[in-house]
Amino acid sequence: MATAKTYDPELLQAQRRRRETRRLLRGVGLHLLLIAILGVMLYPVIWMVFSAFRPEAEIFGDMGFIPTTWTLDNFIRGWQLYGNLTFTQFYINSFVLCALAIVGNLIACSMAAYAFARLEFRGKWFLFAIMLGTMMLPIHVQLIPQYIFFLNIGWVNTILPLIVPKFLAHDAFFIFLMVQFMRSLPSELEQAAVVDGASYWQRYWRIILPLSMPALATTAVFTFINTYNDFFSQLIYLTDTDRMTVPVALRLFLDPSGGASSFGGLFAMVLVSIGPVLGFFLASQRLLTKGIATQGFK
Amino acid sequence: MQSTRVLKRGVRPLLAASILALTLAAVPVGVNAQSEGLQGEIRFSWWGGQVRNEKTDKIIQLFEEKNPGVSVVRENADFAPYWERLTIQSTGNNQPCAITMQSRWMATYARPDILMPLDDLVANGTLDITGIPESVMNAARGADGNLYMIPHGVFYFALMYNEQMLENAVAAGVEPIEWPYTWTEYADHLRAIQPTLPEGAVATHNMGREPDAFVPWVQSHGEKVFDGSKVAFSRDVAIKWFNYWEALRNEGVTESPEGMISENSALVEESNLANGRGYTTNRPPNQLGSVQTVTDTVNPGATINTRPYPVGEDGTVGMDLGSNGIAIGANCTAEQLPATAAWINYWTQDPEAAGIYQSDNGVVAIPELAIAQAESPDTQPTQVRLIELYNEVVETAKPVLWPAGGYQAMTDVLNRSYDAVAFGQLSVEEGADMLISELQQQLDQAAPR
Repeated sequence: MATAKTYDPELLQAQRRRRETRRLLRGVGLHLLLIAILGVMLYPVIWMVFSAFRPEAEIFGDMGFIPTTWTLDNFIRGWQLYGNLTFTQFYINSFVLCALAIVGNLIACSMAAYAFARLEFRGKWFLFAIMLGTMMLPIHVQLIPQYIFFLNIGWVNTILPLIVPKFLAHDAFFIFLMVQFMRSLPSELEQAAVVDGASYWQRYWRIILPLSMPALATTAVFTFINTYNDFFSQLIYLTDTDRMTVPVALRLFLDPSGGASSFGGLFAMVLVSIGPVLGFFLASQRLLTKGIATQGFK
Repeated sequence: MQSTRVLKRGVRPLLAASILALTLAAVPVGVNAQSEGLQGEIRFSWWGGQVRNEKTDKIIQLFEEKNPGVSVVRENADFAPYWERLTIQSTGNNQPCAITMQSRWMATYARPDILMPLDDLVANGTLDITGIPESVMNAARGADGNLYMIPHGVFYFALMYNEQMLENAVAAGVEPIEWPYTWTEYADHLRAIQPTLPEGAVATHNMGREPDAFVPWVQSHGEKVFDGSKVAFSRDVAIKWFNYWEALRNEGVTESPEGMISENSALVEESNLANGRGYTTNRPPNQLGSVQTVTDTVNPGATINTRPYPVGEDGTVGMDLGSNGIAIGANCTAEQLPATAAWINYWTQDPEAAGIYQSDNGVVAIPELAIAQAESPDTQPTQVRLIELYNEVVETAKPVLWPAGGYQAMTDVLNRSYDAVAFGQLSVEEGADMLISELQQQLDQAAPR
């Protein structure tokens, strides 16, 4: 005959308390460790932020955070790069480029993705494989032929080489990203539209595109960040100083070839230039997370 | 800064005399290009940071005011991207009309299909080279003998040192050294000074991986660095170089391998010298002003001065001289050529332009302009010292004719081979073999076909 197991409620409560204390301590320890790691990672950024408000001469004289003298001179001198060139012009150039790139990618990549995800046509998988293959081509392989091509049609020193390809579904990564998303949408929705007599365009425009909002947001955010940060293409294609963009202009504060560098101006303008990326990211964070979570990147 | 002030006062007559001698030896050609009625738009490219950009922009504005029909399109970039962009532009024959060029990089571009040979334009007086010393002009020629750029600034590397550290060492009984000193004497000087330095400081930056120090070593040993696109220095001289720095490293006179790599940044602000952690290093003297400025903030009271590299045991000077100048793109049209030539003449010959630029990218190539700069009360003492030292070494220096890709290849291979030696992965003999074979391999790959 089995004897009933008895439990001491006080003992159980004490064990529970011990477990909770251990969990609490573990949680506190883990958080402290993460905060310490975060501090190490953020130290250079925080130092840069405060250095932007230090007089140029004090930047490398004090490795602490808080400046002894606060100044906005770096922002004023940095904004006025030299001559008539100011960061106002560089920001306008960068934002125009980013806006057009986003529009181009959203329209062209979503259409290409719809074709690959939803339509049936001869050679679809072959073309899809080629499209994926272009993602694996290093930029250096394409650089010279592309440059010569754009030069021959008179597009160098204009924004066209940086924009027109976006309207021709040039970014295979975003097509792939949207294909994955569109494949996950229920096909019944589109079939119902077919029954109602919707054309391909109506199905794409009225059914698929509104449902693909998270993927479109992801594409928009990544296109903005990629275009805003793209240094090399903008260096190559926008040669005239009036057409320079923010990342190219930021490089003009330093002179490793022996001349004087302006770290104060650099830090101030880097700080200002982080704003748009951070703002865009924060504004679209919810859609971005949703977009990534539903596209097989889990 | 007292010593540089003394130098500024005391050395001026000597400076003027030596510069005058150079002027007499200069190429006697000189008809200013006709600048009246010039029309058109030309592109001008250069590299540099904010300060140099401001100066350049000011000079362009003055030129445009004097030539209202001419518009100069500005194309500038940081040093490394500048060359990347120029290379891509050259492949499409879309290089600017006026291209800032450097003798160390010129071989890659010195072909008639990329840069315009300038001899005819000089001979007919379109380009004015009055006063530019012949030795400097010779360094502006390509391997085919054609003149490809008009030099406007001469640069060189030298040793920079902390004067207060030296004064403290002398007070502690260390013998100061006077140039010309040999490499052995210089190493002994560093060994003597090391115990007098503050804790954690080293007597010298470990230059084992520095091409700008290796070149004077090779040339002061009576050897050439390159013969055309072939490596010309011997295995023996490379082994001695690695042994020289390994000995100093093992004695604690220079940095550890890890410290050597972290000190390798080209930025003045990060250097041991400016931060009071090192007695001497090698840098171009046109950085003297910026090194002193940074030193004034992070290590107040210290004065930085500059002196030449050591000489060989037989007194041979091995210093390299390079020049920065302006080349003309081969794609420059006949309509653009007069304005381009006028721009180059203005940049290289006009005293007002030289006064604004203040030898920012090498000592101004024309000796009279250098005299004017050295004597101007507005000139910084560090700038005067840059010009003085140039005049000390210019007649004995040996400009290296860098083959295509040569400087980049030398930097890459010397870095890797000495790193392997310093980290104990290779013996000095193996390091020397690696240096010569891989350098030759890279030169072969970069050689024009």
